Amino acid sequence: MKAIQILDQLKFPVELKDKIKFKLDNGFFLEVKNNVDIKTPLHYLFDLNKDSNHKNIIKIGNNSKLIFIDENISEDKELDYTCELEVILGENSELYYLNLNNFSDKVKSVFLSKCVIEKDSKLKCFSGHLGSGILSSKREIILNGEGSDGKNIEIVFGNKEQIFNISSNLIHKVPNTKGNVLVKNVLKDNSKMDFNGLIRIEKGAQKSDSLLQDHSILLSKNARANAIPSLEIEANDVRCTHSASSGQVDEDQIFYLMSRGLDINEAEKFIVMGFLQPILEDLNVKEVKEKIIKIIENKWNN
Amino acid sequence: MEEILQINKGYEEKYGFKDDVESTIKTQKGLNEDVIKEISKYKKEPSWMIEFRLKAYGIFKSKPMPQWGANLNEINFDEIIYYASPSDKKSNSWEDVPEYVKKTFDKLGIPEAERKFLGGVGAQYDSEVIYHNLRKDLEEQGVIFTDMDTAVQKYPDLVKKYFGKIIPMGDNKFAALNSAAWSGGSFIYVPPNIDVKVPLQAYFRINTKNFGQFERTLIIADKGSKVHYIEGCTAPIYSSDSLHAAVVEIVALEGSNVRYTTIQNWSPNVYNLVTKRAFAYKNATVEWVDGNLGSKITMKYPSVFMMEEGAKANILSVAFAGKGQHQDAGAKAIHLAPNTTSTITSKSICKDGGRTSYRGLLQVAKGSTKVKANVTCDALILDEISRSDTYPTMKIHEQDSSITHEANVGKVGEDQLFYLMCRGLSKAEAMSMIILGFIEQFTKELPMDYAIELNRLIQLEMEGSVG
Repeated sequence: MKAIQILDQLKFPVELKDKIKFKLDNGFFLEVKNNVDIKTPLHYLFDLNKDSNHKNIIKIGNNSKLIFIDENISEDKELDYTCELEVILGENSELYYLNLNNFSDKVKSVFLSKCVIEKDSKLKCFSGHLGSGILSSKREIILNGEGSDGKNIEIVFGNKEQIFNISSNLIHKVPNTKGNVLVKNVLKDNSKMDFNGLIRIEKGAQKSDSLLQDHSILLSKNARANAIPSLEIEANDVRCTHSASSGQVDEDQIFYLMSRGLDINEAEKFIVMGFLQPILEDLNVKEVKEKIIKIIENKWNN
Repeated sequence: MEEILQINKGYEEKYGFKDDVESTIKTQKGLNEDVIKEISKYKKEPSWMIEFRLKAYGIFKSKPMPQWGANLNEINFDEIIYYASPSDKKSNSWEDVPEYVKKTFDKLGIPEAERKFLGGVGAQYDSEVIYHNLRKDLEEQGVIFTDMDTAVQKYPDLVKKYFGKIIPMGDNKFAALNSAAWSGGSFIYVPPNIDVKVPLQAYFRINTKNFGQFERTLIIADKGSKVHYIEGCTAPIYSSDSLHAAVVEIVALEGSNVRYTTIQNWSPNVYNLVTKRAFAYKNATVEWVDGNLGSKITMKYPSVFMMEEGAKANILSVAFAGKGQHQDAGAKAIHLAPNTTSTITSKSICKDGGRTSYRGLLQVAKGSTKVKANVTCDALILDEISRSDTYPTMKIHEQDSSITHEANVGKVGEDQLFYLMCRGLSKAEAMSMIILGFIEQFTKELPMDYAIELNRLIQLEMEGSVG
């Protein structure tokens, strides 16, 4: 199932025209009305060519479903980009939002996103932080209705002089909510990253179930990773865990692969791809997965 | 178990009593240069120490109140009495200790503990250490165990070499305050290859109202030596707040092994803001065993700097926060050399609106290859109004290291409770048993008598939480 490219309302397939509103004006505004189930992913390709400051809004009504791919590319020159994203998810709806950042290394970018999920709705966010020289991303998911489920998955693949600053907050406001934050980082060369994660379970948000994970692989002497996976819990009947780790590729595994005929570079790549594999498998959108693998391969070889 | 569950006395009776005796020597409220000079003059200190104190006072004044952790804004530094002494002489036999002080420590069971299983005891009452004794055989082996003030007079070379070097006076606001107003604390020196098989202990007691206790402890373990030091703290319950800002410095030289155990059980009107740090040199092991049961607010993060290859850090911390308490405790492991290992284990329990926070730092400096580090923190929240936070920071600047962190927050398992109650235990008994199991790792690490005391205290705090 190939995604539908969207640039503006006019080019939409006829059958979607009454169901979706899409407008571009310093960012995009996307609205999916009530009771709309769009099976085909929508793909929005944004090409940055001048300093920009955008505000994006995604609004999903009740009982609706959408898969949205937000791909960012840029010209190869020094540019600044800030983007504020607001996601409002009605009751009993589902949104799968995929963001693929593939800006040039000369771009400095800042992403701020805030997502509010209502009763019985499901949100899954994915971010692939691959491009930008300096990238700062802060995402906040607020579980505002009972039975809501928020998932935030991010991968960072840094090389050369790239610097990443990733924040992810998940806030359980009401009882019976589910949350999951998973961040996996691979850092090569002189790349550096900071991760700041927080799960907050507010007073009265009983039966919350939440998980926060941050795992890094450092591939060079000069790569650095800092992590603060925090928890603030004000309710007692909850399940809330976090874990974090940092390490290099396992020498035994490398040895094993090399004894099977791979050279060291290939063996390392094999293990790194294996580290990211569970996330990539879970993407369910083939073209995004393929794109990410291609970009990582490119970055690996340079 | 039955006997422990019978304890209904509570803190007030057991530790919360006060002696209505005016201190022999007492400074006015508040801190200024004159007060510092007065303390120093009374102690007949050398000039370098007076300069040290005055410089630290300048730093204390210039540093803002830290805002990143627990709320400390209610501390009024001008209302605090910075020095009070019950007696003008120190003794090494109980007979010479003033009667009321003796009674206090008798009640707390210190002489009994000394007879039973300790190699040496120091007892500090407000500002001064009033009793100090070390077993003869240890003394003959060259072990030094005395109060800090005596050490400044008697062992100036050792003191000058390490005092304020592990924790510089400008490290934080409260380290600066301690450096300016310090009084009492222990000084321990263990000569090379001496194994002090029995623990040494110091007991800290605040009696004066609105008091600030600033003890200063320095432990030097020479090459290949081994020592275990235990501190215990209690205070009477007053309506106004007291302040306890200690500085503890440990130097673990090559191949030595130091364990420092704290059983902190201040009354709920004490701010406990302590800086504890150890330098571990080649193949040395430093273990902090830190139990925080009392106080109004505790902010304490025992840390180990692994300076040379093969150094090891073991930090075990248990915190209990009841009504009105905030235990902001944690640990820091800083790897500055290759092949160093650290383990941080933190367990906390909160109830009745108490708040426990784990705040930790794990740092691996560049070049510290083959580092292994593991952090585990578990928290139990016993009711809806309590709160638990976890703020673990990891700074990994070396690729060749293996770091893991895991945490769990949960409540006492309904299944476990049900199982125990099926076997005839009351709900309170079952709850206590589960909690004790949960912190078993901690109590196992303590000498027998103190394990019981700690267990009892946990039982005590548990009282009334269920049923």
